[in-house]
Amino acid sequence: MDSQKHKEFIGWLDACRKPLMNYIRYIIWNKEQLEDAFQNTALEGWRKFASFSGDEKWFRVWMFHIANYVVRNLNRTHKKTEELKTSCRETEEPLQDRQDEQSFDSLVSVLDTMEDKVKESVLALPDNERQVFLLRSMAGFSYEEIGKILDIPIGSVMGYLARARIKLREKLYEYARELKYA
Amino acid sequence: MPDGVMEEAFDRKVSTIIYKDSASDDAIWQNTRELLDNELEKNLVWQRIRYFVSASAAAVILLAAVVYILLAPAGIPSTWLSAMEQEHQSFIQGDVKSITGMDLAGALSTQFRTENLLSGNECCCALLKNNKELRLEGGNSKSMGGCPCAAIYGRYNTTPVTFLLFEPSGGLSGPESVYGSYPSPVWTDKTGKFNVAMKRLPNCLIGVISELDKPTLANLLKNIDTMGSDCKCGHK
Repeated sequence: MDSQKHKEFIGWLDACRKPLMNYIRYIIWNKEQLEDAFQNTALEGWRKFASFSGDEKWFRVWMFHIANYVVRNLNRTHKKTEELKTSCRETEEPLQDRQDEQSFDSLVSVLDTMEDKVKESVLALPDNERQVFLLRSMAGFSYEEIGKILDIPIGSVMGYLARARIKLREKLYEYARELKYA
Repeated sequence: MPDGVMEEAFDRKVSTIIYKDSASDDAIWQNTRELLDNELEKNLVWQRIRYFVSASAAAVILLAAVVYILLAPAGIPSTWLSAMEQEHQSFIQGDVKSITGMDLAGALSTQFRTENLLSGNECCCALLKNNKELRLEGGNSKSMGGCPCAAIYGRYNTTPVTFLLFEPSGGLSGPESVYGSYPSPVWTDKTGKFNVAMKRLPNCLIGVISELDKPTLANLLKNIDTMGSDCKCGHK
């Protein structure tokens, strides 16, 4: 590949590198491998870039798709941390969003004051739900794009997202109560 | 229950809180840029090597073609002549050794080697019947001196042919003692390159050496049923 292609690749990657790096940060189990994961993703993308045909929008989808594979492979070589294991347990009972509008507003207003708990709650989500939530909230992908990135149907995307939101709110309400914020 | 707008607001809020934009991320990006630049450099180096190899190969082929075109008409490399052509040339020039490679069977080749008696060109070419299929263009002949044999070099159509003529009274060293049977079979020398055919005529034994295939040689001999009457060297 020539310099012009390289320039285009760097430009597009630079434009999406921050959400991509943050996405990787929240889906990789061994946080020390963040740099490796990002670099492997970039290199893999560059090596396959010659066969890529699409605009910058699809380039973002494509790179996140590659990142998923790269991180999945890296995660296979490491056990989940104990903390993540215990906090990732699936909820057995059907989830119900029990909060009303007023309490929801109050929760949103106190989120800034409990940053660590928010991060912890996101990390505690099961992998699929966390991935969908991050791709939607942090990278701003559409349902269709998320489906392509994760190789799952749109219906599953919506389902995972709804469950992730409910779980997050439940968890954060719980923390807020403990911290006497709500 | 929060509506879609509220859900999006919640998502954004959470995203804003967990979103990290630190200096370490920039360092990672710089390192990644270096990696990608190196990768590009490697690609370019390989690309240059490939271009160089392709261009060199093309240049060598072109040069070889030019050399061939320039030198071929001059006929410089004598080795490019067919082996048969060289054999004939050597034969005419009296280089007996050159035909040893043809390895004619038995006494025939032995006789050529040991007697080494090719000399002069007084023997004529009119020994053979004038057959339509047999054209001795620019033919030449060599008497074998004391040996009752002669060789005539010519062409059958465009293929070089050497005729070997033997008197029946060749004595012990003559071919008749070896090829006495009639009709003589068609041989091929050991290299498989030349065919040798023999035929007994009323007044001599004739042999043909050529790259012609065996049926053609046999057909050629079939059309030769007598010797010429005006042989200056006395062959009858």
